[in-house]
Amino acid sequence: MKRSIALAIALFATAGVARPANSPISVSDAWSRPATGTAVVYATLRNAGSAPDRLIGATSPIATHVGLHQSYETKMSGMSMSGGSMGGGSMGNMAMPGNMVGMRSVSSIPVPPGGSTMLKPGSYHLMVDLRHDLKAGDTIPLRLHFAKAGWLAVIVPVKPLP
Amino acid sequence: MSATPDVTARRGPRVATISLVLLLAAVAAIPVAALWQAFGPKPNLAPDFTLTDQTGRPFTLSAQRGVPVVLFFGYTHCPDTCPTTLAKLAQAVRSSAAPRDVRVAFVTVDPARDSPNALARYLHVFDPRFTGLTGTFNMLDPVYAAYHVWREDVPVNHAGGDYSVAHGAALYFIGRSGAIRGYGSWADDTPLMIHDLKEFQ
Repeated sequence: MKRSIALAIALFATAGVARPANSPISVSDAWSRPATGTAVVYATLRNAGSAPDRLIGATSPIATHVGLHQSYETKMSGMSMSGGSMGGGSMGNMAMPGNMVGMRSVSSIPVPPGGSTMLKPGSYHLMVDLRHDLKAGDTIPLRLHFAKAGWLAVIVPVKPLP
Repeated sequence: MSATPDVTARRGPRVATISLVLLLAAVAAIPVAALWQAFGPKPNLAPDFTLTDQTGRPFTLSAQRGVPVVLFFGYTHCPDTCPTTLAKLAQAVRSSAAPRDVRVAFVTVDPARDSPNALARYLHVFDPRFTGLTGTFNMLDPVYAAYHVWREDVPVNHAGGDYSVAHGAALYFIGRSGAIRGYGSWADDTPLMIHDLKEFQ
Protein backbone atom coordinates (compact mmCIF):
# COMPACT_ATOMS: atom_id res chain seq x y z
CA MET A 1 0.00 0.00 0.00
CA LYS A 2 2.71 2.48 1.07
CA ARG A 3 4.80 1.44 -1.93
CA SER A 4 1.97 1.83 -4.38
CA ILE A 5 1.15 5.27 -2.99
CA ALA A 6 4.80 6.31 -3.26
CA LEU A 7 4.87 4.99 -6.79
CA ALA A 8 1.72 6.86 -7.68
CA ILE A 9 3.17 10.05 -6.24
CA ALA A 10 6.38 9.57 -8.19
CA LEU A 11 4.47 8.91 -11.37
CA PHE A 12 1.79 11.52 -11.32
CA ALA A 13 2.19 14.21 -8.68
CA THR A 14 4.25 16.67 -10.63
CA ALA A 15 3.71 20.21 -9.37
CA GLY A 16 0.18 19.34 -8.29
CA VAL A 17 -0.98 18.75 -11.83
CA ALA A 18 -1.86 15.31 -13.04
CA ARG A 19 -1.78 14.86 -16.77
CA PRO A 20 -0.62 11.77 -18.52
CA ALA A 21 1.10 12.25 -21.87
CA ASN A 22 -1.27 12.74 -24.82
CA SER A 23 -4.30 13.35 -22.61
CA PRO A 24 -6.16 16.62 -23.07
CA ILE A 25 -7.56 16.22 -19.57
CA SER A 26 -5.67 17.56 -16.57
CA VAL A 27 -6.53 17.86 -12.90
CA SER A 28 -5.21 20.63 -10.70
CA ASP A 29 -5.75 22.17 -7.26
CA ALA A 30 -7.11 18.94 -5.85
CA TRP A 31 -7.62 19.06 -2.10
CA SER A 32 -9.48 17.52 0.78
CA ARG A 33 -9.91 18.30 4.46
CA PRO A 34 -9.55 16.31 7.69
CA ALA A 35 -12.51 13.97 8.05
CA THR A 36 -13.99 10.96 9.79
CA GLY A 37 -16.16 8.54 7.86
CA THR A 38 -16.93 10.66 4.85
CA ALA A 39 -14.47 12.91 3.04
CA VAL A 40 -14.71 15.22 0.10
CA VAL A 41 -12.44 15.90 -2.88
CA TYR A 42 -12.43 19.23 -4.68
CA ALA A 43 -10.36 19.93 -7.81
CA THR A 44 -10.31 21.70 -11.12
CA LEU A 45 -10.79 19.47 -14.18
CA ARG A 46 -9.43 20.96 -17.41
CA ASN A 47 -10.03 19.86 -20.94
CA ALA A 48 -7.47 21.20 -23.43
CA GLY A 49 -8.97 19.13 -26.22
CA SER A 50 -11.57 20.01 -28.82
CA ALA A 51 -14.10 17.37 -27.80
CA PRO A 52 -16.23 17.30 -24.68
CA ASP A 53 -15.30 14.75 -22.05
CA ARG A 54 -16.80 13.76 -18.74
CA LEU A 55 -15.72 12.24 -15.47
CA ILE A 56 -17.64 8.99 -15.09
CA GLY A 57 -16.12 7.42 -11.99
CA ALA A 58 -13.40 7.37 -9.38
CA THR A 59 -11.77 4.86 -7.07
CA SER A 60 -9.38 5.02 -4.15
CA PRO A 61 -7.68 2.30 -2.13
CA ILE A 62 -8.55 4.17 1.07
CA ALA A 63 -12.25 4.30 0.23
CA THR A 64 -15.04 1.74 0.11
CA HIS A 65 -16.73 3.97 -2.45
CA VAL A 66 -16.09 7.22 -4.27
CA GLY A 67 -19.23 8.94 -5.53
CA LEU A 68 -19.72 11.72 -8.05
CA HIS A 69 -21.94 14.22 -6.31
CA GLN A 70 -23.52 17.58 -6.85
CA SER A 71 -24.74 19.83 -4.08
CA TYR A 72 -27.66 22.07 -4.82
CA GLU A 73 -29.45 24.85 -3.04
CA THR A 74 -33.18 25.39 -3.21
CA LYS A 75 -34.91 28.57 -2.21
CA MET A 76 -38.11 27.57 -0.49
CA SER A 77 -40.94 29.50 -2.05
CA GLY A 78 -42.70 32.02 0.15
CA MET A 79 -39.78 32.21 2.51
CA SER A 80 -37.03 34.75 2.52
CA MET A 81 -33.44 34.52 3.52
CA SER A 82 -32.33 37.35 5.72
CA GLY A 83 -28.87 38.08 6.96
CA GLY A 84 -30.08 41.19 8.75
CA SER A 85 -30.92 41.64 12.40
CA MET A 86 -34.34 40.84 13.69
CA GLY A 87 -36.49 43.52 15.20
CA GLY A 88 -39.56 42.68 17.22
CA GLY A 89 -42.11 40.14 16.17
CA SER A 90 -42.80 36.65 17.35
CA MET A 91 -41.45 33.44 15.90
CA GLY A 92 -44.69 33.09 13.97
CA ASN A 93 -44.25 36.06 11.70
CA MET A 94 -40.51 36.33 11.28
CA ALA A 95 -38.94 35.98 7.87
CA MET A 96 -37.72 32.40 7.79
CA PRO A 97 -34.35 31.48 6.46
CA GLY A 98 -35.61 29.19 3.76
CA ASN A 99 -32.68 27.86 1.80
CA MET A 100 -32.35 24.13 1.67
CA VAL A 101 -29.18 22.37 0.59
CA GLY A 102 -29.10 18.88 -0.77
CA MET A 103 -26.75 16.52 -2.48
CA ARG A 104 -27.46 14.18 -5.36
CA SER A 105 -25.34 11.60 -7.06
CA VAL A 106 -24.63 12.23 -10.70
CA SER A 107 -23.59 9.67 -13.30
CA SER A 108 -21.02 12.00 -14.81
CA ILE A 109 -19.43 15.43 -14.49
CA PRO A 110 -19.00 17.20 -17.85
CA VAL A 111 -15.71 18.85 -18.78
CA PRO A 112 -16.27 21.14 -21.80
CA PRO A 113 -13.70 21.34 -24.62
CA GLY A 114 -11.22 24.14 -24.09
CA GLY A 115 -12.74 24.74 -20.69
CA SER A 116 -12.78 23.53 -17.13
CA THR A 117 -15.13 22.32 -14.44
CA MET A 118 -14.56 23.15 -10.81
CA LEU A 119 -15.34 20.65 -8.09
CA LYS A 120 -15.97 23.06 -5.23
CA PRO A 121 -18.10 23.57 -2.10
CA GLY A 122 -21.81 23.77 -2.90
CA SER A 123 -21.29 22.31 -6.37
CA TYR A 124 -19.77 19.20 -7.92
CA HIS A 125 -17.52 17.20 -5.60
CA LEU A 126 -16.38 13.66 -4.96
CA MET A 127 -17.73 11.97 -1.86
CA VAL A 128 -15.25 9.50 -0.42
CA ASP A 129 -16.46 6.83 2.01
CA LEU A 130 -13.30 6.36 4.05
CA ARG A 131 -11.76 3.16 5.34
CA HIS A 132 -9.87 5.25 7.90
CA ASP A 133 -9.93 8.82 9.23
CA LEU A 134 -8.01 11.57 7.44
CA LYS A 135 -5.89 14.17 9.16
CA ALA A 136 -4.04 17.16 7.77
CA GLY A 137 -0.96 16.04 5.86
CA ASP A 138 -2.50 12.74 4.74
CA THR A 139 -3.11 12.09 1.08
CA ILE A 140 -5.89 10.41 -0.89
CA PRO A 141 -4.62 8.38 -3.84
CA LEU A 142 -7.34 8.69 -6.43
CA ARG A 143 -7.96 7.29 -9.89
CA LEU A 144 -10.35 9.30 -12.01
CA HIS A 145 -12.12 7.68 -14.94
CA PHE A 146 -12.94 9.92 -17.90
CA ALA A 147 -15.22 8.73 -20.69
CA LYS A 148 -12.74 9.62 -23.44
CA ALA A 149 -9.41 10.30 -21.76
CA GLY A 150 -9.53 7.12 -19.72
CA TRP A 151 -7.92 6.71 -16.31
CA LEU A 152 -5.95 9.44 -14.62
CA ALA A 153 -4.25 9.18 -11.21
CA VAL A 154 -4.13 12.04 -8.72
CA ILE A 155 -2.72 12.35 -5.23
CA VAL A 156 -5.03 14.58 -3.24
CA PRO A 157 -3.49 16.40 -0.27
CA VAL A 158 -5.51 16.69 2.93
CA LYS A 159 -5.16 20.35 3.84
CA PRO A 160 -5.32 21.57 7.42
CA LEU A 161 -8.47 23.48 8.29
CA PRO A 162 -8.01 27.23 7.79
CA MET B 1 -83.04 18.83 45.48
CA SER B 2 -85.16 21.73 46.71
CA ALA B 3 -82.40 22.98 49.04
CA THR B 4 -79.91 23.42 46.24
CA PRO B 5 -81.31 26.62 44.66
CA ASP B 6 -81.43 28.25 48.08
CA VAL B 7 -77.78 27.57 48.77
CA THR B 8 -76.83 28.89 45.37
CA ALA B 9 -78.97 31.96 45.80
CA ARG B 10 -77.38 32.76 49.09
CA ARG B 11 -73.84 32.00 47.98
CA GLY B 12 -74.12 33.74 44.58
CA PRO B 13 -73.74 37.39 45.57
CA ARG B 14 -71.04 36.59 48.08
CA VAL B 15 -68.97 34.70 45.50
CA ALA B 16 -69.41 37.53 43.01
CA THR B 17 -68.24 40.12 45.53
CA ILE B 18 -65.20 38.12 46.57
CA SER B 19 -64.33 37.49 42.91
CA LEU B 20 -64.57 41.19 42.12
CA VAL B 21 -62.37 42.15 45.05
CA LEU B 22 -59.82 39.52 44.09
CA LEU B 23 -59.88 40.66 40.48
CA LEU B 24 -59.35 44.31 41.42
CA ALA B 25 -56.53 43.32 43.76
CA ALA B 26 -54.95 41.23 41.04
CA VAL B 27 -55.18 44.01 38.47
CA ALA B 28 -53.71 46.50 40.92
CA ALA B 29 -50.89 44.07 41.70
CA ILE B 30 -49.82 43.65 38.06
CA PRO B 31 -46.77 45.83 37.61
CA VAL B 32 -46.41 47.86 34.48
CA ALA B 33 -43.41 45.74 33.51
CA ALA B 34 -45.55 42.61 33.45
CA LEU B 35 -48.17 44.32 31.32
CA TRP B 36 -45.41 45.44 28.96
CA GLN B 37 -44.11 41.90 28.84
CA ALA B 38 -47.56 40.51 28.13
CA PHE B 39 -48.77 43.03 25.59
CA GLY B 40 -45.67 44.97 24.45
CA PRO B 41 -43.42 43.97 21.52
CA LYS B 42 -42.14 40.41 21.96
CA PRO B 43 -38.46 39.62 21.85
CA ASN B 44 -37.89 37.06 19.13
CA LEU B 45 -37.24 34.23 21.60
CA ALA B 46 -35.59 31.17 20.12
CA PRO B 47 -37.92 28.18 20.48
CA ASP B 48 -36.70 26.09 23.38
CA PHE B 49 -35.81 22.42 23.23
CA THR B 50 -33.97 19.70 25.07
CA LEU B 51 -31.85 17.28 23.05
CA THR B 52 -28.93 14.97 23.78
CA ASP B 53 -25.40 16.29 23.34
CA GLN B 54 -22.37 14.44 22.00
CA THR B 55 -21.45 13.29 25.51
CA GLY B 56 -24.90 11.78 26.02
CA ARG B 57 -26.06 14.50 28.41
CA PRO B 58 -29.24 16.54 27.98
CA PHE B 59 -28.84 19.97 26.45
CA THR B 60 -31.55 22.57 26.96
CA LEU B 61 -31.35 25.70 24.85
CA SER B 62 -32.93 28.03 27.42
CA ALA B 63 -30.30 26.91 29.95
CA GLN B 64 -27.67 28.59 27.76
CA ARG B 65 -29.05 32.09 28.46
CA GLY B 66 -26.18 34.44 29.05
CA VAL B 67 -23.99 33.06 26.27
CA PRO B 68 -24.53 33.55 22.56
CA VAL B 69 -25.47 30.39 20.67
CA VAL B 70 -25.14 29.62 16.97
CA LEU B 71 -27.45 26.85 15.75
CA PHE B 72 -26.72 24.99 12.57
CA PHE B 73 -28.51 21.91 11.24
CA GLY B 74 -26.65 19.18 9.35
CA TYR B 75 -25.43 15.59 9.51
CA THR B 76 -22.14 13.74 9.76
CA HIS B 77 -22.43 11.90 6.42
CA CYS B 78 -22.51 15.28 4.69
CA PRO B 79 -19.13 15.71 2.95
CA ASP B 80 -19.58 19.08 1.30
CA THR B 81 -21.70 21.89 2.73
CA CYS B 82 -21.72 20.85 6.42
CA PRO B 83 -17.93 20.56 6.81
CA THR B 84 -17.47 23.69 4.72
CA THR B 85 -19.73 25.57 7.13
CA LEU B 86 -18.21 24.05 10.27
CA ALA B 87 -14.67 24.81 9.07
CA LYS B 88 -15.62 28.45 8.56
CA LEU B 89 -17.42 28.61 11.92
CA ALA B 90 -14.39 27.06 13.64
CA GLN B 91 -12.21 29.73 12.11
CA ALA B 92 -14.71 32.47 12.96
CA VAL B 93 -15.06 31.58 16.66
CA ARG B 94 -11.25 31.67 17.01
CA SER B 95 -11.20 35.27 15.81
CA SER B 96 -10.42 37.85 18.49
CA ALA B 97 -13.42 39.84 17.23
CA ALA B 98 -15.86 37.00 18.04
CA PRO B 99 -17.37 36.66 21.53
CA ARG B 100 -15.13 34.27 23.46
CA ASP B 101 -18.00 32.43 25.10
CA VAL B 102 -20.05 31.73 21.97
CA ARG B 103 -21.43 28.20 21.76
CA VAL B 104 -21.80 26.53 18.38
CA ALA B 105 -24.44 23.80 18.37
CA PHE B 106 -24.77 21.42 15.42
CA VAL B 107 -28.22 19.79 15.37
CA THR B 108 -28.43 16.59 13.35
CA VAL B 109 -31.04 16.11 10.64
CA ASP B 110 -30.02 12.43 10.49
CA PRO B 111 -30.61 10.95 13.95
CA ALA B 112 -30.70 7.42 12.51
CA ARG B 113 -26.95 7.60 11.82
CA ASP B 114 -25.83 10.41 14.12
CA SER B 115 -25.35 8.95 17.58
CA PRO B 116 -23.73 11.14 20.25
CA ASN B 117 -20.51 9.26 19.54
CA ALA B 118 -20.66 9.86 15.78
CA LEU B 119 -21.25 13.56 16.42
CA ALA B 120 -18.34 13.74 18.88
CA ARG B 121 -15.95 12.18 16.36
CA TYR B 122 -17.19 14.38 13.55
CA LEU B 123 -17.11 17.68 15.44
CA HIS B 124 -13.73 17.02 17.05
CA VAL B 125 -12.15 17.58 13.64
CA PHE B 126 -13.42 21.17 13.58
CA ASP B 127 -13.47 22.35 17.18
CA PRO B 128 -13.78 20.10 20.23
CA ARG B 129 -15.83 22.84 21.91
CA PHE B 130 -18.61 22.49 19.35
CA THR B 131 -21.77 20.91 20.68
CA GLY B 132 -23.45 18.14 18.67
CA LEU B 133 -27.14 17.52 19.32
CA THR B 134 -29.19 14.45 18.53
CA GLY B 135 -32.24 12.59 19.79
CA THR B 136 -35.13 10.57 18.48
CA PHE B 137 -37.28 11.85 15.63
CA ASN B 138 -39.96 12.44 18.30
CA MET B 139 -37.57 14.82 20.03
CA LEU B 140 -36.20 16.39 16.85
CA ASP B 141 -39.28 16.86 14.68
CA PRO B 142 -40.70 19.68 16.85
CA VAL B 143 -37.29 21.37 16.73
CA TYR B 144 -37.19 21.15 12.91
CA ALA B 145 -40.74 22.52 12.81
CA ALA B 146 -40.05 25.36 15.23
CA TYR B 147 -36.98 26.45 13.27
CA HIS B 148 -38.64 25.81 9.90
CA VAL B 149 -35.91 23.37 8.93
CA TRP B 150 -37.06 21.16 6.11
CA ARG B 151 -35.36 17.80 5.89
CA GLU B 152 -35.73 15.08 3.32
CA ASP B 153 -33.86 11.83 2.71
CA VAL B 154 -32.41 11.65 -0.79
CA PRO B 155 -31.27 8.24 -2.03
CA VAL B 156 -27.78 8.21 -3.51
CA ASN B 157 -26.64 5.57 -5.93
CA HIS B 158 -24.53 3.55 -3.54
CA ALA B 159 -24.79 -0.14 -2.98
CA GLY B 160 -26.31 -0.60 0.47
CA GLY B 161 -29.15 1.89 0.28
CA ASP B 162 -27.10 4.90 1.23
CA TYR B 163 -28.82 8.25 1.42
CA SER B 164 -28.07 11.90 1.82
CA VAL B 165 -30.27 14.36 3.65
CA ALA B 166 -31.38 17.60 2.05
CA HIS B 167 -31.88 20.13 4.81
CA GLY B 168 -32.31 23.77 5.70
CA ALA B 169 -28.86 25.31 5.92
CA ALA B 170 -29.36 28.55 7.79
CA LEU B 171 -27.29 29.68 10.75
CA TYR B 172 -29.37 30.97 13.67
CA PHE B 173 -27.64 33.53 15.82
CA ILE B 174 -29.18 33.47 19.29
CA GLY B 175 -28.09 36.29 21.60
CA ARG B 176 -27.31 36.20 25.30
CA SER B 177 -30.94 37.13 25.98
CA GLY B 178 -32.16 33.97 24.30
CA ALA B 179 -33.65 35.89 21.37
CA ILE B 180 -32.89 35.10 17.75
CA ARG B 181 -30.86 38.13 16.67
CA GLY B 182 -30.07 37.20 13.09
CA TYR B 183 -29.63 34.61 10.41
CA GLY B 184 -26.75 33.54 8.24
CA SER B 185 -26.21 31.05 5.48
CA TRP B 186 -23.87 28.10 5.11
CA ALA B 187 -22.41 29.95 2.10
CA ASP B 188 -21.39 33.06 4.08
CA ASP B 189 -17.66 33.68 4.16
CA THR B 190 -15.66 33.69 7.38
CA PRO B 191 -15.45 37.51 7.75
CA LEU B 192 -19.25 37.74 7.52
CA MET B 193 -19.60 34.98 10.12
CA ILE B 194 -17.22 36.88 12.44
CA HIS B 195 -19.29 40.03 11.90
CA ASP B 196 -22.51 38.16 12.68
CA LEU B 197 -21.04 36.51 15.79
CA LYS B 198 -20.14 39.95 17.10
CA GLU B 199 -23.30 41.72 15.96
CA PHE B 200 -25.84 39.14 17.03
CA GLN B 201 -24.42 38.10 20.44
